[in-house]
Amino acid sequence: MKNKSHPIFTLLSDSLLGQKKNIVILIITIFLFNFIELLIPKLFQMLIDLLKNKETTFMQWIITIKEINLENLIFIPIILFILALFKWMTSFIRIYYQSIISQKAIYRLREKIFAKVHQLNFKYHDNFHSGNLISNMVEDIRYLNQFLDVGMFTLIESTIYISMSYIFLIIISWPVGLLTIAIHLTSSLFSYLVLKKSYPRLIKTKEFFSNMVEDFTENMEGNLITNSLGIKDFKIDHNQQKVKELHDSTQSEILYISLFHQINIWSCYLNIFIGVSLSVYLYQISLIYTVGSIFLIFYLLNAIIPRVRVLSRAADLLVRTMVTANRIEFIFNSKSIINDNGSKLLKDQHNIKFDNVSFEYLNGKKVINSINITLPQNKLIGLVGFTGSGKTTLLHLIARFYEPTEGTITINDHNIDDFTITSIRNKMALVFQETFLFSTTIFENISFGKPTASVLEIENAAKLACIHEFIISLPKGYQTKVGEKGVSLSGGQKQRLGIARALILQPQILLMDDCTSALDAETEINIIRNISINRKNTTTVFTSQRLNSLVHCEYLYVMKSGEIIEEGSFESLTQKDTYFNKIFSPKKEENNE
Amino acid sequence: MSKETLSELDDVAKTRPISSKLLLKIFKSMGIYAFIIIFSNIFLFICLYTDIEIISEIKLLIDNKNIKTDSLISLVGMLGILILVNRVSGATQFISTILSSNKAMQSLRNQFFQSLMLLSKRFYDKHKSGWLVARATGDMGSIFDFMTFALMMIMISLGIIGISLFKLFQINPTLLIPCLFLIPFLFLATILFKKRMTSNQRDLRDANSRMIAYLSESIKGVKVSQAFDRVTKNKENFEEHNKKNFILGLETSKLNGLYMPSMEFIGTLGLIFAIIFGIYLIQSNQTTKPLSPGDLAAYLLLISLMLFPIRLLVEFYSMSISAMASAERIYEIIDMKSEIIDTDNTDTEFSKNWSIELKNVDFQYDESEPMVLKNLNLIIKEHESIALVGHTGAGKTTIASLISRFYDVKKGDIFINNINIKDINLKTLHEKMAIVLQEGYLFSGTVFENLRTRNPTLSNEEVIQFSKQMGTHEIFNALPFGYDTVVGESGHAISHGQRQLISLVRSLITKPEIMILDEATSSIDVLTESILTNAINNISKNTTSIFIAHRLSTIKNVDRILVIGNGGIMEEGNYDTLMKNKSHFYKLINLYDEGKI
Repeated sequence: MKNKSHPIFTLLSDSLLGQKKNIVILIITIFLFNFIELLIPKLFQMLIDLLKNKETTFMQWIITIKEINLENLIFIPIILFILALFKWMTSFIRIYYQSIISQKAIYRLREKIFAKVHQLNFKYHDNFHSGNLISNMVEDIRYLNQFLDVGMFTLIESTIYISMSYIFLIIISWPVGLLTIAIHLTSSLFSYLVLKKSYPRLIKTKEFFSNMVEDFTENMEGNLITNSLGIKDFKIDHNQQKVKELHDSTQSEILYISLFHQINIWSCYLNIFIGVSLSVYLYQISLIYTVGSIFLIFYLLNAIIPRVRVLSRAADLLVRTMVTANRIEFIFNSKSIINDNGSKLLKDQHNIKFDNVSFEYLNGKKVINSINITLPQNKLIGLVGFTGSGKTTLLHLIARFYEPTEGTITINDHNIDDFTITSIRNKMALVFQETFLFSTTIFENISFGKPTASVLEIENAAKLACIHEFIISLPKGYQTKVGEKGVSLSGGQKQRLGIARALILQPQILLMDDCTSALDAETEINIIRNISINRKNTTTVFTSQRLNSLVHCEYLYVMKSGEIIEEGSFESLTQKDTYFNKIFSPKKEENNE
Repeated sequence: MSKETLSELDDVAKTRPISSKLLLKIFKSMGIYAFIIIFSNIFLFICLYTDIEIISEIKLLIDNKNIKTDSLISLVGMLGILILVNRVSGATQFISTILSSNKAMQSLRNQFFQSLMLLSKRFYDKHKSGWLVARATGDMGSIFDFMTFALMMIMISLGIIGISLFKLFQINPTLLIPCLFLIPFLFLATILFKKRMTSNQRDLRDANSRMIAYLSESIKGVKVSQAFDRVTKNKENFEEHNKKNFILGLETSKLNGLYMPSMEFIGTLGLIFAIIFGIYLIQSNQTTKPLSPGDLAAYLLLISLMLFPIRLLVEFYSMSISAMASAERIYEIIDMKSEIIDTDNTDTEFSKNWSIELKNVDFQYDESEPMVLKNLNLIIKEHESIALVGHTGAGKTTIASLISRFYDVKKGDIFINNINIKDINLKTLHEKMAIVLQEGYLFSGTVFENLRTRNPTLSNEEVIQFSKQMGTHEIFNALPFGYDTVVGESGHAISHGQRQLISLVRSLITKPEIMILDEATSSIDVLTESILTNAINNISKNTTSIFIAHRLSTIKNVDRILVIGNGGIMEEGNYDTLMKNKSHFYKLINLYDEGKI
């Protein structure tokens, strides 16, 4: 807990920005509220003293009567009623401002988190298991929510109340006041040290929790595989291990947190013991004048207990929030954000050129190695190569999901970075190897990139992707929901929806990343045909593992270990003794038969 | 992402009254720790009782006429003992409760996971991982909170109210009269507020779970959103969710704010009433038991003490009812019986014959969906290799799934080695089979670890040896860290094809008796595939094998090819006969030839 620079403070000050006025009003109200809260026992004390001794100068001053009889005591309930009314009112004002401040802060924070997640580039998301990112984020938001909603104000309010109580105690009897303050401060110091020690353990527990959730998620996603491999028992053992690690870590965390709570509570009771004993002694030596004061001292010290309880709960929450704030700040500070500094708009003509482009993910191993090519315009271009040769990366570089480590990619002789992302996305569409569909209707999934698309446009895109027939065969047609609790689609159906989603944009650059692997030959050929016939003015880059899908390509690039080693038309590549032929040699044998 | 589609997450917002049945189930899962938690409540009552006794001490102190001259020792001693007992019992109860519930959570988590692992594919078809993860985190968390805090707080609150009332009765029975007025008022106010608050909180939780669902899906699909430039639109959508949460959150906390002070106000009114009543009692001196100033002091302290627990009761009651809904969902899964289970007379011993027979098999995925297979008959002889071909959705994968017993047939029977598949021990069945699916899901870990999943005792050399045999050694070796490259969801980005290779080798490494490859090589380049095909052909000589592939080159060498369509077998025979028949298969092949021109 490096207090100076801990991210929680930046997060808080950031989310509370512009609410200064509200906060000032709130704090004044809290003071007022607590003052009334403390006046009430004072009233009780007077009542007891009146009943006990029938003499108190203060009381006489207030109600301006010289002689006290029991009938005059009716003033006490009346004053109490007025105080109660004031307390009620200040409560409302306090809670009104509290709600506004916290809800606004939470709102800002959520907005910022959401925006940031979308700014992070592919590189960031590659390194994070999305399931992990989600469960962490949900947890973090929940904690921050809780802290901003309850914890923060409890901290402020309890601290103010406790401090005011001790000031009251000093006014009643300074020896009792000072002694109890000393005890309280000493114990707070100890409990602070314990809490500080618990911090790394809380971080550990959070990690173990994430691990456990990650393992759980993996087993749910890979359940079919676990089943088919016959390794259930092994997986159960493995998960039990994760659960045990979480349990053990929680155990040691619990011990520390319990110690923290206990120190706080024990000190309160110790204060009652010492405060009451001392005040009785002071009464005996006439340093305290009334029995009612002893009552008041007890009342105040006793009323501190529930405040200390909630205060230590809030402090506990604060520390947990600090752990989560670390993670959120880590995301906020991430430099892996999409660079959208360009100002040029991508116009219709598009001439894509790679100028000595290299790219590496993380480990210094070049996935793309000095590529120099100019993609022929408005052609169906095939990209072939072995598994892991860099085809996907090349497509993702064109789509500007990554930035080249070396060299430049230009469109119309301008660096691709000079264009705004939006103008690039308007002209370009990419179909992923794996189709991610959102849990909404087929209609909305296809129109994802063009929410304003008409029914006709959507149906046309579906027809081009050879999925229209299937969709209308479903009971709800285009309004069928996909994904969780919706209809479950086969790999091929998903791929075709992914293709339709890209085609509806009528892109001028279409990048298709092995997105027909799960389709049967007939469907695949139909789709390729549809694209080449209907999209005359489109530069399409297409990767596939199947020779027959590449036949329609007008130009081909062959990749090996991140380099383009051959290029040319299908005929020229199949005729010579090429690497291309080597890739497809089994097919060639088939031809020869 | 329309509004209704996220309904699966709505049940996060559900509540359910506290039911003894569910409580019993929770306690049963907790085992010995349930007893510890219940037993520790004895300490709680000791703790609470001493709290009240301390107040009695103060009362005695105030009423003591000789307080000026009395020795302090008895007072200090008594107070000291009470406080010590209070703290020791309080701490014991606190620590034993949370330690036990932590232990109990461990066993509940294990129980939950084990039950999940026993459920069939049909269950996983319906419940997606996101939903299940929400159960394992959110629901488990709310059960844990219930066991540690809510249960304890409810006990404390009830205890304080009970003991206070008892003490008040002891001091002066007539003093109970204002209390009896007060309590119904407090509860009435609570119920009135609660009605609006529950509906408000439900809306808020509902809105919150929708927002979280939207956030989750946005993160999952963030690459797609970026690729399709939907970021701005998504932000707008999220803004809507965020705003709704803001408004509802504001309303809820305002309502809460209205409630708490109002309760306190009613409480203070009760106090005022009590003071008037007390003064009257003292003044009149008519009661059999006169009221002393000390009595009034104790009275005031006890009433203030009781206000807090009533607040707590309400707060933790709402926590309990949502925990009950969580518990219900968890136990629904724990109590669920998979339809695919071992019968009593399951067989774990096999002779060496690995033939497969499907007899009059009917199958549909769901009652509402059309039949996928109709009266299908198929015999696969031992060590025979067959290929299933046909259009997407023809039912090829279904046949493979039935043989793997991921589902049970609707009608008809499946025999392996002439034993009904239902009488075969599931674990043994899957151990003898290698089922490789198109989507090669890898577990987090290194390539080595993944290849070793089926048999963790394999040495690195044995794994490499087998990988060489399969022709994948060079590919694995060329990964950034070779066989030690971390793959899986949280590992390095590896290509689809590489993933398929790992999952293929992983399945075959234990030398299975039955091999089912369902589009297992669709993303692998042709050269690698041809090397693999050779290796697989070698394996298939001694294995009963079923291939499903769109690329016909991979299935040319099989003994028999079956064209699947219209819920049954449309054509069968070896490659040459089928080509001569010029029927369905010929048409399929022609599509390829067409492509080659």
